[in-house]
Amino acid sequence: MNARRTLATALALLAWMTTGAPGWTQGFAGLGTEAEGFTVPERGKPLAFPKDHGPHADYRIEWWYVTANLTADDGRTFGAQWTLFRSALKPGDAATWSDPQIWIGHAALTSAEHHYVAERLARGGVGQAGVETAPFAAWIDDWRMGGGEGQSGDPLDHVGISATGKYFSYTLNLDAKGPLVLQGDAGYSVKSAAGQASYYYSQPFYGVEGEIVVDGAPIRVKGNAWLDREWSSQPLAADQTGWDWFSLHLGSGEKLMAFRLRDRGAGFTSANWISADGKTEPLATGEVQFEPLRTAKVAGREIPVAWRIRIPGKGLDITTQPLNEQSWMALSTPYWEGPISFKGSTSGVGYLEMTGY
Amino acid sequence: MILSLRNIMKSYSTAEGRLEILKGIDLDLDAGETIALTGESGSGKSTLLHLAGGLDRPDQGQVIVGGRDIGALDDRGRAQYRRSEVGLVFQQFNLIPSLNVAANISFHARLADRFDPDWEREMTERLGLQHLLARYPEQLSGGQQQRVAIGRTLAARPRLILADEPTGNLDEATGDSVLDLMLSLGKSAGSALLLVTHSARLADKLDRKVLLRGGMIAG
Amino acid sequence: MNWIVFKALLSHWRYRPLQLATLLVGVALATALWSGVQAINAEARASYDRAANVLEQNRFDQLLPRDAKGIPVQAYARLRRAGWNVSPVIEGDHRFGQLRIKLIGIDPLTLPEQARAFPVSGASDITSFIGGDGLLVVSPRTVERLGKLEGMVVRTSSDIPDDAAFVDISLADRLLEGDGSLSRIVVARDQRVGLAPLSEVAPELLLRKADETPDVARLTDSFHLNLTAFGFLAFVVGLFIVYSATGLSFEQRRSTFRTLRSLGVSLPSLTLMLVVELMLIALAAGVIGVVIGYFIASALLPGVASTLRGLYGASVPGSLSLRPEWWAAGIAIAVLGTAISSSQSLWRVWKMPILAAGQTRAWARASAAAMRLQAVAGLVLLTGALALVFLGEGLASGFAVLGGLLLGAALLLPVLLSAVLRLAERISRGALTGWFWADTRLQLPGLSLALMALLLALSANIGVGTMVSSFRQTFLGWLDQRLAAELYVTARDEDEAARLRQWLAGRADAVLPIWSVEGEVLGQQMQIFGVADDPTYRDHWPLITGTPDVWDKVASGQGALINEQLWRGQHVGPGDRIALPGRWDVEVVGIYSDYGNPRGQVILGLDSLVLHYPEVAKLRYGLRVAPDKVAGLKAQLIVEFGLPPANIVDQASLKRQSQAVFEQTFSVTGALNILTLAVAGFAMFSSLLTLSGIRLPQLAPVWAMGVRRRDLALLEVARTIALWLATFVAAVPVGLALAWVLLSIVNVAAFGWKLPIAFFPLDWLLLGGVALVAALVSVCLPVWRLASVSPSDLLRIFANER
Repeated sequence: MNARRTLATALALLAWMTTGAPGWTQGFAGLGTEAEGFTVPERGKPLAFPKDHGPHADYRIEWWYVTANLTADDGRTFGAQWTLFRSALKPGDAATWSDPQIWIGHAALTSAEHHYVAERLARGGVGQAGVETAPFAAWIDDWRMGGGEGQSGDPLDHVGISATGKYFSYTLNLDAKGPLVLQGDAGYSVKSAAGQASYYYSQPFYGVEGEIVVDGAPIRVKGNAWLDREWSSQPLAADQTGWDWFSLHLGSGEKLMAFRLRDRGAGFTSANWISADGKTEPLATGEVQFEPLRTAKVAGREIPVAWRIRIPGKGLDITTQPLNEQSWMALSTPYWEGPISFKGSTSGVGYLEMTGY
Repeated sequence: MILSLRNIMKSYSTAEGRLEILKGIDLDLDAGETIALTGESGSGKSTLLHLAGGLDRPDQGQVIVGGRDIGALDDRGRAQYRRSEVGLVFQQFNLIPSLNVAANISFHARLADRFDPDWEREMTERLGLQHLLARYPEQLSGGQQQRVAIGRTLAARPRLILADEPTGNLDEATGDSVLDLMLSLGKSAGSALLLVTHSARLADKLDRKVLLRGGMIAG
Repeated sequence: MNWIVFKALLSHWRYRPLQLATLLVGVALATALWSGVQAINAEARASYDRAANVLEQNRFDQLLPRDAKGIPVQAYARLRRAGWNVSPVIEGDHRFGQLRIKLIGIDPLTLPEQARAFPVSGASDITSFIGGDGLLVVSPRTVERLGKLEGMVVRTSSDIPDDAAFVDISLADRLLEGDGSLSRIVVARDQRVGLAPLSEVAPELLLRKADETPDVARLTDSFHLNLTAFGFLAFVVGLFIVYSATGLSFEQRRSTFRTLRSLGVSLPSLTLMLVVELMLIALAAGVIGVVIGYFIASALLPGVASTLRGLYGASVPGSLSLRPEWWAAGIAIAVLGTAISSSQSLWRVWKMPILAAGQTRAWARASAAAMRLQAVAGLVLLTGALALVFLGEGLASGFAVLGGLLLGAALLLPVLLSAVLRLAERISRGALTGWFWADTRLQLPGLSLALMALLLALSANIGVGTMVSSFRQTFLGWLDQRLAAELYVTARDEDEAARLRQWLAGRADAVLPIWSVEGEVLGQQMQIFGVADDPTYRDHWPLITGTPDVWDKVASGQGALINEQLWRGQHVGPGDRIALPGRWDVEVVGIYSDYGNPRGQVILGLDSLVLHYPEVAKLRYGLRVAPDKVAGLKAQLIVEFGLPPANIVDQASLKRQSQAVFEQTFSVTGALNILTLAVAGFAMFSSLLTLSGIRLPQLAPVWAMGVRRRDLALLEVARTIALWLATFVAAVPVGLALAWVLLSIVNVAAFGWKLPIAFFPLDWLLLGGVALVAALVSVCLPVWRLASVSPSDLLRIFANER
């Protein structure tokens, strides 16, 4: 999962640079698997909160990534995405305009009919975008994710997110119903057989309520949300071309994070089975099986929008359907990201992200 | 003898080669005598008149006026000759458009330094031009224009008047009256007249007729 | 339309190649000068737009600081976080070696797409743009002048004006040694609904609305109007040529038309064929004209560029880019011009009876009534111009006065000439002289257009020449006053400046600070200078008017001087108080002349300047030294003090440079003058040539009565000279009136300064000589034709119908 966001972020920047050129391969090649002076994640280094909720300027790439599955009173379902990427041109901070940190915001609101997206760019050092830890605040322009003053517990337990695009806006309150979850080996998440890795933790237990505005009409919604936090410096192996990533809220209250990094061979899969009380159970590569069932024409490409996911060891066998198969993030770096629902051995909702198509 | 043409030859180069117009002409004109030069189109009568007037030079032969060979004179000499000794009347475009009738009439006399207001007045009256004096040539009819041209020539009292179809553009009655005027006034001035015409009727009014045919005098 | 008939019509030109050439050249010249001038204007305007677009982003609303300190970065962050779609800019001048470059530091992440001045290409470009050591995007010409820069990457883009560089905002901040504060903030057009108002988010900032017309474009309007006027003048003169050429070609083909119509060609079809013929000629000539126009424009543009730099500080590239719309516009104007100038002839064909008399009319013979009408129109125009002198105001009125004066004088010229010739005819004695004057008068209608063209060209020359020479005289005198100090030095930074002041004490007779700040006065951005209380100023400064104790008041801080432009433009004079930046005001105590500066300017006492603007850069100084010590001090400054030679300018070379700028400034005017004169000469030539074709019947009787062809030819020359002389004599007062209008009305409106007029008769003589040569050249061919016409051609006139 780390890798997919890493790539997305890096490509966002690169593609912006190339002003929309089809830059996947080029971007991938240009991403650089070298750390180039940046700090590299190490296994066994414990994460510390709330400090690690804040930015890590010595790492190349980092994000605060929220996805929410929402339901209106009348039963209509929606999806919301709020993402802040940090991408460093050089390690470290510097005063005002010399700061090498670039911030990128992506926001989306998905209904069965529409998929609205927006993007913001900012440079660090001047206050236009940034992340602070106590109280927690992450922002780019007028998009915000943050908690109130004097909160007890973890600063991320109670946060609001808001974003505005041309045709949509939303203001959602997120309430953690369970603990933070460290992915991989206590937050050290391996991304390839060659050993690329990132620091990665999540908050998959958010309950959500709030208001979305679609085409000028406000709608009260509630549902589940999932936060991913990840930072790294040299995330990808040279032959990896893209990924398919799932975050699922199972009917049992359990959560599943599963991804497949595609390469020329069988790919690298990884998954984490999270119990309803937050205990994690990382699954070895190969234990989870992904099977595309149906593709759709999206932005001129063939994208697999329906999947079968099996984890025999857990008795899981589900098929997923998108809320809106045209959930295309038509931004400077384009990718597919949208809410899904699934049926089978269990049912529920979640989010799917696919890149590299 | 005022004009003697001796063995005049003249040819022009044209697109079809050299065209011999005059093939040896001999002609004499006495003082005060009037001769009608007749012949078909292209017989060379106009060319002969031009040579006599010093407007052009013969290829061979002599144009003797007052003992001088006009054909041998240079441009300046021939201009002086036209100015002082010849009066020319043509079929058209005789007048100077920028000058009024009065100025046109006296123009040649002044050039020839023979301006005589009394004579001019008399002539103007006899030509019936006295009330046209302030007009400009373009405001005159064809007959009036030719009368002014004749008046101009006679006002200068040349010894020799050369006229090339002076009534060619006029109707018969007007033409007759213009010619009669010219003849009678010419007599008063004592000028000899060589008149080119294709009209036998007009030719009959003159002292003598010379017929040109194929560049030769035929009778 | 019948091809065989059309060919018969066209065959005319085979026998009259010179006539065809005249027609083509006439249309081509008219088109060339017109489209050339248009091309220059278009190029300059495009460059202002580009500059404004690129440098000021004037197409966008802007947020500006209220004072000189700039916009704190926090204000920017506040705006963004309130949802404002804005982008920061840090800009300023920076010296790369000898070259002063305007740095525009932008943030590519937030800059609106439409404001992006250069194509961003390649990921590595942007990485180095934002995060590298430094990437400059400049114009190709600036690259050449910059040479190699240590540690920086230079990219070119032709969209960027010369002497400017786009850099990342971080690089601009670093090079300009700023603290991150912004020069301004660009407001994107695309804003989200329900934004908090500026007064809540950032009340300390000023909003300047977008402006489609760049300041410099407005400033230079008068100059372009000037060029356009010249182009139009040349175009009109060119149309005169076309008018006479088509008139003649139609006149000579009358019998052909008659024959064709008797053979059953209908009138509409004949007219259509003639229209097609003319349009074909117009198209061909239009293409030639646009090509010539392009070369004229290319040749003139460097001059125009330096004019604009010299007068307005506007940067225009010295090279022309080919725009497709010129082709269209140029060819359209050629066709239009041909249509206008041949409409009368076409109308005559349309109205011609099928059996019209074969006799050649006196060509273009003007009736007495037409002459009277022309006289009345001329007088009305002159009277109108005179009335506008007293009643009008502003640039448009100034140009209206110019137009009325020139056109009125041109219309009156044939009337006056005709009267003079009538008089001459009356008083002349000899038959030939009388005929000479009468015949000249007869030619007048055919020549009057050419003579009017000549009058326009000559008086424009005299007028503009007098204006420029008067300006030069005044300017040079003013330079002597203004550049009183012997040496001008600039320190590289404040430390050096402090050391310099110390070092100079005792070495120079006086050290005169030349310090200035930029600020808004009476709604305009301008420089505010401070001057020391020194005899140099009291004795030399070019004051136009002032109170008796003007320098005492300035020195004590009680008064300020303003330049003539501000005085005339804003109607503030001695005794008035003006508000200065920093919320204080001061009394105006004097006005000084300030040529070559497009903007207003204020001068304060030095103490007053430093008191109100403590942040003023104290880098420039004028040094007074005995003339024989100038070289020595300069050498000492370089060798002992260590100031770069480029930072020391002596008075003499500064004057030389200023004069060079001045001369450059008016080189275009000179070139256009000569071109206009050339076109007028050609108009004369084509008119004479046209007339010579129909002159034989007029001359033949005179020849027959004993005037030699040579003498007739000499008389033709004499006639041309007489007409030229008369026109020239008429052009002198018209030219002087023109100069007066330029100096006293147009200059004041356009530049804000008034100049005394000075007379330069030698220049007129020179011009007269040139015009005489042109007249003689123009008469050469027609006269040679006349002198060598064969007697048989003359004789044919008298005999049969031609």
